[in-house]
Amino acid sequence: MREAEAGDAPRFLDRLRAGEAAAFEDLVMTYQHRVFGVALRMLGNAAEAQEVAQEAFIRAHRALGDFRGDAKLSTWLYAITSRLCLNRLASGERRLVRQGEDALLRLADAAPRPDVALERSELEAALQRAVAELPEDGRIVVVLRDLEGLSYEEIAQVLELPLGTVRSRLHRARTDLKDKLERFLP
Amino acid sequence: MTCHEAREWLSAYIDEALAPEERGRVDAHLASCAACRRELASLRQTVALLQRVQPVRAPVGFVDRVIAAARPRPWYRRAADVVLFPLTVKLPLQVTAAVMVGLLAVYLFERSPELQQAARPETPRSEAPAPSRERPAATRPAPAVQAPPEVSSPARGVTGERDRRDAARSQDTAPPAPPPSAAAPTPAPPAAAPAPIVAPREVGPAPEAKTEAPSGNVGAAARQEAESRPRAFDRSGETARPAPAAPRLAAKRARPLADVVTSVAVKDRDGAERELAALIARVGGSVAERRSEEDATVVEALIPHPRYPEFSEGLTRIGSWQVEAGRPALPAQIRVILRLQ
Repeated sequence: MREAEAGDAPRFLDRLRAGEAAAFEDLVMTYQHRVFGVALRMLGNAAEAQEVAQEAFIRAHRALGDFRGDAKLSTWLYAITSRLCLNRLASGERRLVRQGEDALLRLADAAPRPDVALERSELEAALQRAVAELPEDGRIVVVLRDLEGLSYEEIAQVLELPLGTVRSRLHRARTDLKDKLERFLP
Repeated sequence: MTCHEAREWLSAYIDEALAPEERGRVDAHLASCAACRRELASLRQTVALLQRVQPVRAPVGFVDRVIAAARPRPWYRRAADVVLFPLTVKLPLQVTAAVMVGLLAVYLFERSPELQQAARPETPRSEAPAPSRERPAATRPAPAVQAPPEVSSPARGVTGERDRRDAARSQDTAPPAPPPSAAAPTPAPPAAAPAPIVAPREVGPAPEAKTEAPSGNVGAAARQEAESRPRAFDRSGETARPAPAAPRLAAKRARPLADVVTSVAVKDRDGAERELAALIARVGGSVAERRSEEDATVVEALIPHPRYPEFSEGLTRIGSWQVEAGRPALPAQIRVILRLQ
């Protein structure tokens, strides 16, 4: 489901720091779907998500010198992206109302693939809706954990939160989802 | 461990994110609590559902856009962004500027006699053909230079309204208008350059009389046409008026000029005017215009040529008069300016 973490992250860093022109392009190609995915799940709007994802890569490009390398490159990118999303959601800068049917439909149509579009089921729509309706602090944890597959430790690192907070927020969000998706549970 | 405590850890339990000791406590609780087992099962299924959410893919071209945006712009492009407005702002500004420059140019031209003077030299050339066109119809040997009064008569229909306005303005804007008698011998051209050409022809009938003498019938026709409308009695103001195309207008305007300019010395101006009116009526003439000045009453009359001797005789009874200017050959309808003073 998810692209495997690029095993050659250190090499990425070396190439980037050596000023290799193609290195940044490779980095964007490798991580574009994950960064864009987090932005889209959080913002519910493809245009905004693209804007934020692009900004995340540009900030990463500028801050490569500050990246210490003690975390995974992907974790660092998730951290930049998550911060940008949460800041945007918190600032009243948002141009579109995130909640409601419109935002969900935009989310559902964000990146339709022909094979997926036809199979998009009621369950899929309900899942999208349920995630979109989660409070922001719980939604980011669910997105990072259940959709992006990060570990609790990585999520704590990305969001700069204590491990216990990550755990409790995730549990609260999952319980919320369970209640909303009850009719789909056996 | 209570159900509440156990359920708080169930998510981490599913993810195997609990410490062994914590996991053991949850296991113990689940073994004895069916409700919490059902809760655990529901949570597992929920997490399994979430795994089915389709992954999102970035739009096509995203990488190119990011690369383009990340590439530092050359210094000159950044400088251009700062210095130059975007096109949506720049275009309206440029259009506005062009319009304002145009308006300013027109305004300056209309307000500056020097500019109009500079534009003059081409006007005589453009009008040169006009007299030659008119000459055959005029059937007179008068030089083309003297043509303006006749030339203008066909064009009067077009310029008539403007002429009336000009006439009214010249009377309004030149309060101490010199008397025609004084204007005739000494045209007193104003400082404006067009004066030397226009003033003598328009203001002073005397100089014209020499050259227009043989053109009696044409002049009369022009005069008859002009009788139906008011005209400036004293047009000295016109020569000073800095119209952009003063020579052109002068050529077109061609008002009927007085055939005789007379000053009449009277004791009682009002009484003399009444007598004059009676005399004019007696000889079958008419008063074309009347105007009071500070020191004189000016009457412009039209007298039939055959009755002109009778009119002259009657005028002698009104006061001591003398002709200040006059044509050698008088037309059928003589336009007389009488200055009672």
